[in-house]
Amino acid sequence: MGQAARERPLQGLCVLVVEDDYFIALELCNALRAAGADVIGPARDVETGLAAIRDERIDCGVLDINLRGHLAFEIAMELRTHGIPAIFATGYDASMIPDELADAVRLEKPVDLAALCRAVESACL
Amino acid sequence: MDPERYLADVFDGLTAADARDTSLRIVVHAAHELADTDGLCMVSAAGDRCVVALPRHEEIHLCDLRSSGLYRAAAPLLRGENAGSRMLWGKEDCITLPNGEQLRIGVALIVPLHAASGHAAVGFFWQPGRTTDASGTRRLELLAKALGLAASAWRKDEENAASEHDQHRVAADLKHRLRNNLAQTRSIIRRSQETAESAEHFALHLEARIGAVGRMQSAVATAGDAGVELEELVRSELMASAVPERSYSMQGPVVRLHIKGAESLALAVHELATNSLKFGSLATPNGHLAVAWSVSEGQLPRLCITWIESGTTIASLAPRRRGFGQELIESTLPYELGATTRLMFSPGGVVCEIDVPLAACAADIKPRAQQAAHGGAR
Repeated sequence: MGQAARERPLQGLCVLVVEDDYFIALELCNALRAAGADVIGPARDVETGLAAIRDERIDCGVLDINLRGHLAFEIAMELRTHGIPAIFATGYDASMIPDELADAVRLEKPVDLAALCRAVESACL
Repeated sequence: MDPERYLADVFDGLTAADARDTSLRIVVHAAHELADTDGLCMVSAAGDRCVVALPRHEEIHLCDLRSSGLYRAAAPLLRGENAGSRMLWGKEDCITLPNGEQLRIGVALIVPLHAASGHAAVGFFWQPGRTTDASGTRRLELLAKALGLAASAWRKDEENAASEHDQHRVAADLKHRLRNNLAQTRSIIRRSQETAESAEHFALHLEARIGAVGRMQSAVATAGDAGVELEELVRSELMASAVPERSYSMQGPVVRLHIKGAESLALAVHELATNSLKFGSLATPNGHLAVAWSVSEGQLPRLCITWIESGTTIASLAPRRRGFGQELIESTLPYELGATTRLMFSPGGVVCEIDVPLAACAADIKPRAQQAAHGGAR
């Protein structure tokens, strides 16, 4: 693997970010972009997230669970029906996640940004 | 076999619902053996729920008996009139089970239960043409008392389970909030660093921002579900910076912000106040700040907040680069609340307009009783 590939491990990957807090979303997007990813979003609510899945090429989704009181599981299920991996970046416990999504990677807030990039990379292998 | 041991084995490890069903099965069997009954019904204290237990196949059904003649006949007992006395009722009636089956009743013995059981009464019944004698009635009364005692125990279990569940939920919510707040704080630190002009500038502003977040969070915690009043939020930011009351005025209806609205707007107000103290009207003796808000009518009402500084000339120049505060108003509020915002560095001072869907930020609004343009003190 060349130097460039190691520095930008997410090069060529389209990553959807769903997060309702502006500064947290910015932080996630900046970290993913720095690792080479093309960021789709950020989406602040369920509708915007679902629209992005309809309209854009997406290789992986990074999702907050609670979007202004609405849960993002619908987005995760929609990603799943398209065969796209989802990663939860959330303050919630694993017990909050429905059984059918229990195998998705869950990163606890505040999210370790290097771990996020590694999780996206391995989810897209 | 030792009966106590037997019961301990039966009840050990049972949930409250299991305990209820097991008790009902034991009692309905015993009643059938002792007095040839065809079943029993047990009415909740509020009268809205009734469990019907039948000896055949150990069936237990949850029914609403309120339309039945039996229920109407027992109503005085359920209301606590003639408390403590049993009642023998002999008029043909019909109970409809949830599966649609009609259960015919000829005679019923209704025994009031102690309030601690959470139930008003238990009724033993026989199909038409069947009944029991005086000794059967006495035995059934004893059985009813035993069932009342069992009900007190399973009710306590149910209550304990519910409060345990509540405690778990509160702890989980708290943990979620804490993790979210940590993430928010970290992202604010990071962005403050990226937008700061110097290390000193970064430290100074970060400290003040964290102070603002802290004030907002304690106001949210104090206000609870009622929501934080917009006026209080603005006032507390200005007070935190020791802005004299004569330098500003506030006008608008009572708007109570829910937590998300308060979170976003508190930081925006903080940034505006900080900027004004440094470059704007709050930095000059003759300057004035007018904060006003109104709520538009219509199906999707909007909250329009205006921040108008006057009496200063030093803010006439827009900052060289987009700082944290400007980003907060021009990007964060539109993203988080769907707001439309305008931030203008006009010759007299800063003018900021924040127009936001009411539903995105407010829990409640109402007109102010005594409305007057007023300064810091009321």
